[in-house]
Amino acid sequence: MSDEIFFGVDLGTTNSVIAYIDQVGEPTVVPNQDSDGDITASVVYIDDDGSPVVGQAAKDVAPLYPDRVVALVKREMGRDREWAIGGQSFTPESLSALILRRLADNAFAHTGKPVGKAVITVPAYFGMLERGATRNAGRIAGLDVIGIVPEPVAAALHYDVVADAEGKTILVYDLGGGTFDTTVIAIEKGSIEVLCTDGDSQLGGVDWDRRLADVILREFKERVDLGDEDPEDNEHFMREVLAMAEDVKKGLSRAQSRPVAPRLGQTGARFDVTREQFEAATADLLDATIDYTRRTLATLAERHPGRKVDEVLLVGGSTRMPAVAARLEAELELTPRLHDPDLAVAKGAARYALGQAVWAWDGDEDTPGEDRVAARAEAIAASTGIAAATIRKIAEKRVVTVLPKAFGVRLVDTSKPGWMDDVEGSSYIEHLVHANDPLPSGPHHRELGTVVDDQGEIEIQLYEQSGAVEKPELAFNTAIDHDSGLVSGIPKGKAGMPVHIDMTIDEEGLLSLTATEPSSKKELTIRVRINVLDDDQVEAARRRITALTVKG
Amino acid sequence: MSEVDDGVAVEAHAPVTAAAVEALRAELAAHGARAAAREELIIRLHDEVQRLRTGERAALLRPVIADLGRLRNALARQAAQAGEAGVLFAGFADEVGLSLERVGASPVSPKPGEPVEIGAHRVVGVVETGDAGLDGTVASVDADGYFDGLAGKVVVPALVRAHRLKREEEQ
Repeated sequence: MSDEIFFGVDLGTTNSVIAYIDQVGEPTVVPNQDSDGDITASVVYIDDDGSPVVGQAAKDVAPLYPDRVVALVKREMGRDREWAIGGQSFTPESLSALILRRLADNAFAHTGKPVGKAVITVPAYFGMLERGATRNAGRIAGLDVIGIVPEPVAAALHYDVVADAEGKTILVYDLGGGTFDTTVIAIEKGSIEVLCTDGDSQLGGVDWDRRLADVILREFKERVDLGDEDPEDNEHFMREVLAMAEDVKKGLSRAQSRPVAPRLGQTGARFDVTREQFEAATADLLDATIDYTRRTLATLAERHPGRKVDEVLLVGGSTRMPAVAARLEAELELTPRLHDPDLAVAKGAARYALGQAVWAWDGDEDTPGEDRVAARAEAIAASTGIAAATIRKIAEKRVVTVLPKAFGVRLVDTSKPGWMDDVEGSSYIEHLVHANDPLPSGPHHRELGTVVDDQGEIEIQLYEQSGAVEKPELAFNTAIDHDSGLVSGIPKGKAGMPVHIDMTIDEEGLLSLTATEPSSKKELTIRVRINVLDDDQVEAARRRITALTVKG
Repeated sequence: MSEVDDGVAVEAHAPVTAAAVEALRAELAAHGARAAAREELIIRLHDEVQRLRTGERAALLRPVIADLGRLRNALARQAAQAGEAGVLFAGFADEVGLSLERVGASPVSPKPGEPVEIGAHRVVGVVETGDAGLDGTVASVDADGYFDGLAGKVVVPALVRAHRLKREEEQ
């Protein structure tokens, strides 16, 4: 019996989508049972008695219950935040888990099978804490998270630009409802790297809607005599104009002009809005995205001299506006590809999930052999009902993501005069792993020493690069350890007693650390936690969240 | 087989026949199990087809219900403001209402004082109140919503203004 399904989840800032690979081997989006279309609003409402509602219905009551509705949770991922609602406390992970649960319930209703193995996407700029939090959100929702993949990489998988694309450089231009990202990825032998990424978390399709609403309002005012009445005071009218603008925007992607007929009380007007008017009113918004794109390309040129972009992929519903493709084409002299922009990330994630399962490998060699891959494809064919040949085609190339940011430990420069009086000022970050190192990575070995006699403990502080470029100064790095970072049990002795540290990073970019005392080879106790929540907290949250019925 | 042989041979073949019958029985049972599995599959596929058919109809009708609903709301608003011509507008609104009824949709028209219903109402404004009993209830309705009988759910929420209790420090 074919019971296993591989899911991909685009856990977005404003909207989320879940897709799976169907028995024909095609990525298929699960329709939202509660509202129109394939997307679910990433908004959570918690009732008085603690029961959650996720989606548009939650968004609809936000004005009445601002304290009980949470939106834009994704922006808080990886942070130590808490919301107290309905007598319960929620973390960014547990709120995201509620969204994931709703998506999983919809998928269950659609496929008749519970969601088990899933891949969740994250923005390319997400660091280790944010990725860890996303993975924990999946665990809390009761999912078996088999991968975390950057959104532009998932989009590239959907566009099928990965197969036979060795050495290709791809620009992913992602204009969503409320955010804009531009990312350059490189497809190399055996891996997909994110080379650089940039964007604006406050720029999105909704800004275009507002500008078009302004155009409609201006035209309306010119055509009718309203006396002293200011239409902008009429909330209902303004809401209708904005809804009208959203419709007209979609229409103008297909036609050169669209008729509109705003009405205010007894006064009405009828006129056409043209694509030319719309594009003139939004030119500066498009310019802003082009500036970001140029900046991304400048970073690319600086860090990877000689690399040229071979393909441009458009992601996000707002890239349907013809001006986007036209402008990018003029700018880059490449024809951008536009296909399924709203769903590309979720669909690509589902493909990645299946691929991950085929390539899953814990052997000694770097990659599994041909026989092993073929055997895995057969086994997955038996468990999913998808033809083995189709599975092998989807998983043709192993996708290995790379580390988004450099990691290191904080060290004290004891050669600096007066370091004991100014430990902070004498500290620097030694990066043990670097951005774009293929994953998994390590173990990376480092020998440390005690700095004073009879020092029984060493405090290790782990840091992640915070800016675009790796720098040793503390200010350019963020501390990521959520525990004391204390290595204890070091035998007493003169300053300079050695301690060996090994750092390993798994396929999703999550780090683990061990410390040993070299003479006895004894493993030392090390208190390091690269996650906002520890395993017990995740387990407790999982028990709590999976027991709730999440309504839509 | 034994029928064409003589009587002595039949007796000698008896254990062999019993074994053959047993084998046949096992094979029949296996066939039976496979047929049951097929049956189950057919029922599941049939259910799925039915579900898809309903889902598809609901998906096709949804924009029609939303647009007709919007038109009915606009006509009803004009009817309330248009003086003598209001009767005409009200008539048109009723006609659109009947069209909606024919595709299985009915208006969601909350009454002031009813509790705000999540999933059926969209709160477009709040009205502060000092009366705790009114907190979370509908204060006024901006526009009707629509319920799709085929899909069994509200496809367009009613736009309402809701009462919200003034916090003590604000009172």
